[in-house]
Amino acid sequence: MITANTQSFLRVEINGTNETLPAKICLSELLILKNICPNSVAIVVNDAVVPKSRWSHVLCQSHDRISLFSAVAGG
Amino acid sequence: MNTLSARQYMQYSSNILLHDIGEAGQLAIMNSHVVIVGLGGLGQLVAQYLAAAGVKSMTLIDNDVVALSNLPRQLLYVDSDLGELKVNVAKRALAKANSNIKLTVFAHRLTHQHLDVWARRLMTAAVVFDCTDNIETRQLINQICVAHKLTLVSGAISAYQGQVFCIDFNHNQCGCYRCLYPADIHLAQHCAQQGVLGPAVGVVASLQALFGVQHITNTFKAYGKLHRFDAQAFVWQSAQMVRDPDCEVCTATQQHLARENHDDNS
Repeated sequence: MITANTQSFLRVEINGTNETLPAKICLSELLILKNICPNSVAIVVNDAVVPKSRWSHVLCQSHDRISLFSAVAGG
Repeated sequence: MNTLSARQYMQYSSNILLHDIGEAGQLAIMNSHVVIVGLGGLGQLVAQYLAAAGVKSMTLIDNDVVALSNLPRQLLYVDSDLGELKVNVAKRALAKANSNIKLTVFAHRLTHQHLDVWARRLMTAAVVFDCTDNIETRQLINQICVAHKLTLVSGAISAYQGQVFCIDFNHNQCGCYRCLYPADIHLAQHCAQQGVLGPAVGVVASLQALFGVQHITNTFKAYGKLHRFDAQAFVWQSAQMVRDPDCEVCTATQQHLARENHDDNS
């Protein structure tokens, strides 16, 4: 997921919807862009959870499948 | 117990017929102890499935009483139970389903207070089922399970979003609940505020019970997979859980184990 990215934009899938993002955007910046509180979700990229401490280090890549799992606690 | 009676063969034949469970798997169930924290929509169904499967003993923890709004989704309770402690009603009902089961109940909320006492109550469990309705208790249950290398089956649902996973902390490389959701996580949804449909709760609870039985019978193969269920779109998603190197719970346990190893070697 962390490789040099020379394109201006990249196409990704977010929660099942195709979207275009600016290149070199990390997961923390993605949440800001989408106006999502970072303390409310887990982020899954290509079927693996990305730990919160890595969000500012992991750059989105073309064709990434990104899911935002909202925390639920009801029982 | 190391053999089944003729009656038990008949009673549990549907379990035993599964080639990977067989008699050995049923005996494993019948020698197991499980802990269920929370006896709401999730816990009451997990308890019924595990009792019916034949577990030897079960510890139930919940400080709530049966309320009218519980009845549409908490099928263990009926109108005449209103106002009674859920653990007491559950104990009575489960004993009917399995007369051999040993039931221990605690009508208290699991909190930071006396955490070591709670840990001792959980430590002998083959599986700890987190069926609670709040993030604070979920974090505490996780902390105990990580520290004592227990197996945690965690389920949660609010509105149309359900989540469930199973981690065996004795062989864990995939992090924990705290790695997934830090202590300061904001909840987007809450049952009391968002509502929930009984059958949707049942889906998550059934999966918890299934994971638990499969763990006990050594047939579970999806440790550390987080499953998300959308009960409106009927879509399942799964994701591999990953340890957060900054997780306080995992780090504290690793440091503790390192100290123990050092003491053993010196």
